[in-house]
Amino acid sequence: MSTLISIRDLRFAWPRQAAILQIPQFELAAGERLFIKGPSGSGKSTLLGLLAGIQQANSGELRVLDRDLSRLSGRARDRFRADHLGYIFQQFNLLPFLSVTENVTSALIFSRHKRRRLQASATVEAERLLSELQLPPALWSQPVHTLSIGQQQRVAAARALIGRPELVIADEPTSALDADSRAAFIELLFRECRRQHSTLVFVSHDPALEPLFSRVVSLAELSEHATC
Amino acid sequence: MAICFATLALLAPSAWADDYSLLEWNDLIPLEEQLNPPPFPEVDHDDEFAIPGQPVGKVVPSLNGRKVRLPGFVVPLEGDSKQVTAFLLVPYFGACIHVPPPPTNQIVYVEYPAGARVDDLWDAVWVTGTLHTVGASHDMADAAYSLEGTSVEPYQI
Amino acid sequence: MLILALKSLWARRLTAGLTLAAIAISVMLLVGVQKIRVELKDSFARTLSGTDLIVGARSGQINLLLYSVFRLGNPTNNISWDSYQRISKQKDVAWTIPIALGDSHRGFRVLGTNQDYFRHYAYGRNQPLQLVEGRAFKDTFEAVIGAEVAQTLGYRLGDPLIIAHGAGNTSFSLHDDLPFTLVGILAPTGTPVDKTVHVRLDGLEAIHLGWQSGRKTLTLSSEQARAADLTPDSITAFLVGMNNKVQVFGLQRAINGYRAEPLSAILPGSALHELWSLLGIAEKAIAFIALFVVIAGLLGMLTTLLAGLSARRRELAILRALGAGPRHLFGLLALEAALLSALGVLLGLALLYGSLQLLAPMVQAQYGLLLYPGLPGAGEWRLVGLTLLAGMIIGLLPAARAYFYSVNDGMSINH
Repeated sequence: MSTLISIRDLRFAWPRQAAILQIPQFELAAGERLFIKGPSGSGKSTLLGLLAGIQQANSGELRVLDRDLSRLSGRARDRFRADHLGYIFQQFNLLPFLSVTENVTSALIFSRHKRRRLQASATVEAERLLSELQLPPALWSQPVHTLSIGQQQRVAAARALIGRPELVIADEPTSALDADSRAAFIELLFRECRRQHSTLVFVSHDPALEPLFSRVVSLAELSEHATC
Repeated sequence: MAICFATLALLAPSAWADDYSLLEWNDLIPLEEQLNPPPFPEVDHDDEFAIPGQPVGKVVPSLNGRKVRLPGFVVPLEGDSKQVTAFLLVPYFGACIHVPPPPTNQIVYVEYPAGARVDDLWDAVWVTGTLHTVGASHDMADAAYSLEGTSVEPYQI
Repeated sequence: MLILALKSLWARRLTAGLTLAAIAISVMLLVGVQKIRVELKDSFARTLSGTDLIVGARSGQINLLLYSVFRLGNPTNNISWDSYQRISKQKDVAWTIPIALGDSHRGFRVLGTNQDYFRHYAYGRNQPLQLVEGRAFKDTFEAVIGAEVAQTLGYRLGDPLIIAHGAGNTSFSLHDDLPFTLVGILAPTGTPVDKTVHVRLDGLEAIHLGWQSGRKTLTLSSEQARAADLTPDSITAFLVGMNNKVQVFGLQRAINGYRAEPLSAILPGSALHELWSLLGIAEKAIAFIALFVVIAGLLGMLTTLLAGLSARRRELAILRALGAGPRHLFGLLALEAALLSALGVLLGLALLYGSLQLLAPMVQAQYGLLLYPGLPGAGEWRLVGLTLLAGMIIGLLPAARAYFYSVNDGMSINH
């Protein structure tokens, strides 16, 4: 299996602060489902920011899809994120002024690459994903604020998955859900990632979810000087 | 006043020195009149018109058809809210009120169909165009000038 | 991106709508002031052409201009027929048009004059008057009416007209014993001529026979009236055309110094110019107010956009996660401001032209001003363009702010 993420001597510090991340070496194969655990403040969000190309490492190498994000310009990293990444936030993922379907297709606005990879029209593809994620069709044209949090998270998952990005990042996507919908959500997310060969990086502080993943790392182990 | 207009002439923008000849107001007065100005019309003291009218001056015939440039002040006659399309050009501001009017050869009737923007009558202008001599009344010889304007520009020092 | 901006605005349609209304109203005011200003001036400047002097009783030149030509205000005094005769016979005078005002017909002014009115009166760019129907008056008791009189009153050739004493909508002292016959209707001119009933001076004199001290003391038949001496004693003013325009100053000066009667002679072009510079001060003040209203409207937009922005930081973070760069978000916010300004300007213009369409007939009836609701002129477009530009420039502020938010926040939305 090919390598999706490869990190070497990565160092990151916020301006005028001590280094929050210092990762000598890490690799993630394509198609894996990675669970990153760690207490809050351990630099999980920072790592995700680096992977998404929002932040840039101070030194070292961070290769995603064989491209060194620490050497790309801000614009190129924005482009890279639009083309190859799907992102799910903890909650309030959706744009309030768009309908459910429009929220899903909004991932295509900034990426011609994702648009080209669609097999059907954007709406058809969005509806396919929404039904795969078991969101009732009656809700598709609804404004998003009428949906429950669990439903909203599934819309967010569909948006992260549309256009078959190589990497899907989920930042504690289940922390606002109750136990039942949490399991259901993760199961659906796994199934879809598998179906379209997307690698999943999942961050959570909930150890109960660990057994579901093919690989689990603790950020504390990963990072040499992680400060808490 | 002659000195004044000589000064105006000296300050003229030199870019105009093409086929338009620069005129001074004195150039519009025939030589003999410059020495002997035309008298004000006789005032008939029995008449209700107590104030003499306007002296009728003679024109310089050689100026007929000449392309000239002349500075002066605008007394608007025709136009709309933005521009003046016909006006009298006079050598000094306020030529129309309170002072005896200048002789007929010291007023030039200018037709300028393109329309000139004149915001303030205190501002002098340069008028360029073709000069013609015309009769003041049908019973007399040519006694005044008219000018087909080709450009009207603010007079700048 | 445009759709995104539109949908985002639509989702905030209440605040966006209010902002839009503020901009629209300010634009309406700004362009409306400009429009009315230009129309007013044009309407004035159009009214008289080709006349070299206006002569009336001694008064200020603007006053004389206003009452003689625009029928605004009242004459200070009449001038004697004798003075008129003497001046019109001066050798430099090419033609004269006598004007006698003071009576009305169903709200329209009646103007006593002679045939020269139709020969020499000109408006606009030296356009002469034209009859669409009938002919100029020949007989003492014939009348020619302006286009608007004909339209409003629905008169046709041959109809009788009864003239009322004094100017006003109704009068309780009618010259009803001596009706006039309508013989001609003038083409529309867009000037006060359209609202005027023209009769001969002797006709006007005839209906005033037997009127002493504003009260009718005897009734005459038209035959009796014709037999009387119908030379008027006085007229309100007269217009003068010169043989050569350069002699206008001489005659003007002579008239102003006329011994037998205090008279004023004015150059209409110069008087209008003086009127403009007088109105200029008020104009500038009003334009300034309108300008500040527009600034207030745009600042309102700025406030709304900036206040809304902090609430929308999550939205920005989501867009960021979808691959939007800071410059995308800058563009989005700038686009929103531009859209708001553009829609506001459009709405303002629509409101203005809508209301002009509605108000123009009323304004014309009330004040005799012709407002053409036609397309905006160059000046109006410039104002519209400047407002739009100002809106766009102001929009750069929230846009810049969104840019910095997105750089600093990244995707973290817990701020």
